[in-house]
Amino acid sequence: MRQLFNLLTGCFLMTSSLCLGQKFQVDTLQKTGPLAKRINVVILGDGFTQDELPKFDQEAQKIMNFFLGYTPYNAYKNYFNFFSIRVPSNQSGATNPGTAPDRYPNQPIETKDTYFGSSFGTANIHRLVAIRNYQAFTNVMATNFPSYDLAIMIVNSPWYGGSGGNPATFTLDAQASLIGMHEIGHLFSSLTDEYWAGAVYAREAANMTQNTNPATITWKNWLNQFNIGIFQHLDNAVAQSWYKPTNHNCLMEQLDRSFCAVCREATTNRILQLVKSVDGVSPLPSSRITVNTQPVTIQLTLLKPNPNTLAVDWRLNNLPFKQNTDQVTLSADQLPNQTNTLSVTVLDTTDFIRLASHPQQHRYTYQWTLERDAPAQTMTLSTSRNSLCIGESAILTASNCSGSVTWSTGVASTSIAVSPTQSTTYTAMCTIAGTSSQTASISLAVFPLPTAEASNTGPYLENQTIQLTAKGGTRYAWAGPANFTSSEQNPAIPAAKASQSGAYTVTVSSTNGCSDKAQTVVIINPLLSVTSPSADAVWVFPNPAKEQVFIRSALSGELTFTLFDAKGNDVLKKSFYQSTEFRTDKLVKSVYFYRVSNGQQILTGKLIIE
Amino acid sequence: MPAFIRILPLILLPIVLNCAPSKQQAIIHQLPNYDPKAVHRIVFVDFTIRRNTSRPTEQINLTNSIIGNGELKPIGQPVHTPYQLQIRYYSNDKQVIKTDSLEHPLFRSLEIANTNGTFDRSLRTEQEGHFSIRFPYTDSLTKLEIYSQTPDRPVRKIYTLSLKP
Repeated sequence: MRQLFNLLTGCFLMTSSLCLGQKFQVDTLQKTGPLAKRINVVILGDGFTQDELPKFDQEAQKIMNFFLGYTPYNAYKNYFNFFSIRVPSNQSGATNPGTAPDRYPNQPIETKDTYFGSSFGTANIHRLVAIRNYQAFTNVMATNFPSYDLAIMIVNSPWYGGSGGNPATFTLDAQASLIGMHEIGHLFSSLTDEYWAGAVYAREAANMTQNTNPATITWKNWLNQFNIGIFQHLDNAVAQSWYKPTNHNCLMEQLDRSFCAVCREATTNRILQLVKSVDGVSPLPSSRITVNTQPVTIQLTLLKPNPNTLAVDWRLNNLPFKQNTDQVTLSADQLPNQTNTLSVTVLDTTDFIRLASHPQQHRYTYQWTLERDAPAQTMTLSTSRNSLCIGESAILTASNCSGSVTWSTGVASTSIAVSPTQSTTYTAMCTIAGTSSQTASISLAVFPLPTAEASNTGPYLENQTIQLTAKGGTRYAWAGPANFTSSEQNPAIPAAKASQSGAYTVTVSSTNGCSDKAQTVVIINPLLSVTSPSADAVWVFPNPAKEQVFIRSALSGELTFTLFDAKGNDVLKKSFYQSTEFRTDKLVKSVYFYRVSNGQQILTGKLIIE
Repeated sequence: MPAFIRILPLILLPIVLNCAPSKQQAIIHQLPNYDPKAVHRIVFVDFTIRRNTSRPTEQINLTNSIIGNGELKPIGQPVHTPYQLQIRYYSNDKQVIKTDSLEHPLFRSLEIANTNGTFDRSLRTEQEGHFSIRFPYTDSLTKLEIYSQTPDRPVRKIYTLSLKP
C-alpha cells in the first residue's frame, strides 16, 4: 500500500508540474530579424544541472556556429535566428540502461534524473539517444517559444549518440553534431537517405528517384559535375530500381561528407521557401507617389546572402533604370511622363540552385506609380478660327491635358479639323488614367454665304462704255482682262477696247466676311473705220444697195466678208476668192459696216441698204 | 480509516483529469498558458497510442494539451512512409481546412548512426508509442480527426478531438 501511495503521489506531482508550463530563461544567440521573417532555431539542453548551464551556453553557441558554418547554411546565416532555452536538470548526464546489445563497454550504466529524460538505448539501440519525456518538451516549447521552426536538443554526455525527429537530438561527441546535420537534412529539407534504408523509405525526392533519364531526372542540371551522376542503390532488387545523385559523397549517406550539390540545392531551396530575400519595402508597394520639387527615394531592405547573390533590377516605365542597388532616388525631371511606373525585381542567383522553377518561385517584384507633381492644370480649347462661313474648316486644339482627349465628334486626338454647316459647340473630355476626367467646350459661329450676281450691258463697240453690275453683298471686288480691278459694286469702263473683252469676275462679300463669286463675259467689238474701198482694193457695190450687193477685191487668198449692224452685231459672214455677192432682202434697211480680211490685211467700209 | 484512504480522492482526481484516457475535447480558454489577449495562438497536444487487442483501431489518449502565443510557418513536411497518421483539421463549416501527416508512432523508422560514419535504418513496430502535434488555433477550428494509414488496411479514423473556444 505504501508503494502504491508513493507511486500515485509521484504521478500527481509529475503530472501537475508538466501541465503548469514552466518559464525558463530564453537567450538570444543570434537575432537577425523578426520571428515571422526568419527561421527560428531553438536549442535546448538536457542533463545540464543548474551549475552546468554555462557549459550548455557554450555548447549551444558551438552548435549554432557549426550549423551556420555548414554549407549551404553558411551563405544564409542572416536568414536564421538562434535562441537557447536554459532548462536545468536535477542531475548531470543521460541515462544509460546498458541493455542494448551494442552498448559501449566503458560507458557507466546509470539512471539520471534529467528534465527531458534523455537516454541511450532507445528501442534497444544503444547509440539511439532520444528524450523520453515528450510532454516536458511540449510544455517547455509551448511556454517559452511556441513559434519555433527547428528544435535541437543537446544531451550532456560525451558518448556518441543521437536521433532524428523533433527535437533533433545529439550528444556532445564531436561527430554527434554531424548526426544532427544529417537529421536536420531530413527534418528541414525533406531529404532522403542516400544509403539504402529499406523499401518502405524509398520515395521520389530531391535526392532519390526511379527516373534514370538524364534529360528529365530531378538533378539533371548537376549531372557530371561535383561528383553528381545517376547512382543505383545496390542492396537488393527493390533497391536497384532506385537512384541517388552521389555514391558515398554526401552527408545523407556518410557523416564524413558534406551535403552533395543536389542536397545543397534542396536545402537552399527550402531556406528560400521560408524566408523572403526582401525584408522590407518602402514606401509600400503598389502605392502612388507624387514627385514634386523634392526627389523621392524607393528603398528595399534586402536580406543579402554571403556572398551576396541577389540580383536587383529596377525599371522605369519598363525600361532598365538601375541594377543591383538597394534604393533609387528619382526627381521629377527624371520622370518622362506625368504618370510613370517604377518596378523592381529581386532574384537570388545563387549557384546552389539550378532548378528551372527557382526564378518563378523566388523572384519578388514590387511596383509603384510615380506622378509628377505639376500644378493643377485645366484643359483649354482653342480654334484656328472663331467663326466660319459654310464650307470652311477650323482646327480645334486641346491644351493642358496629360491624358487622352476625346471630342464630342467621337474623335480621340489632341487636335481635330471641323467643317460645321451651322453654328456648333464642341466638347472635349480629358481622361487621365486613375484620376477624374475634365471637360471643356468651344463654340464656332457659322455664317451663310452671300449669293453673288454679275452682269454687263454689252455687247459693246470699241469706245463705248462698259457697265458692269454686281449684287448680293456689301463689298465687291472686280477683276477682269487687261488687269482690270475695282472695288465698286457697279464699275463703268469708259472707251472700251476690244482687248478688254472677256470674263469679269466679282467677289461679293457679306458683312460677316463670307464671300461668293460671279462672272460676266464682256464682248467688245471693234469699231470699224471706213476707208475708201478703191484705195484698199475692195469694191462693194452698188452702195447704197437695194436687192443685191457685189464684192470685188484685189486681195489675194481666201477672203472673209463680215457685215455688222450699227450695234456691232455681225449679221452676215461670207468667204470668197476675189468676188462674191449676196442678197439684201433679209436685211433691214439701215447703215451697215463691213470688213474684208484675208487674215493678213483688213479692209473696212460702210454699206447702206435701202 | 487510514489517512492514506482519506486523501486518496484528492490524489486521484487530478490524475484522472490529467491522465484520463480517450479525452476527446479541449476547451481552449482553459488550457495552460491561455492568454485572452493573444492575437495568434498555437495549440500543443501530446497523445499516447497503443495497439488495441479488442478493437480494430488503435487506442489514442490525449495526455497533455497546452497553448502558446505565436504564429507557425509552414515548416512541416509531409511524411512519405507507408505507416503514418493523418490529421485533418475541420472548420466550423465542416470543411477540412488542412491535413498534416506524421510518422505512425507504432511503426517507427529508426535511423542509427554508426561509429564509422555510416547509417542504418530499421522499422520498429511498437505496442505503444506517443506523438505530439501543434497547430495554429482560431475560433473557427472546431475539431481535428486522426486517421491511421498502414499498408495492410484501409485508412481509418481512430480519434476525434473536439475544440471548444
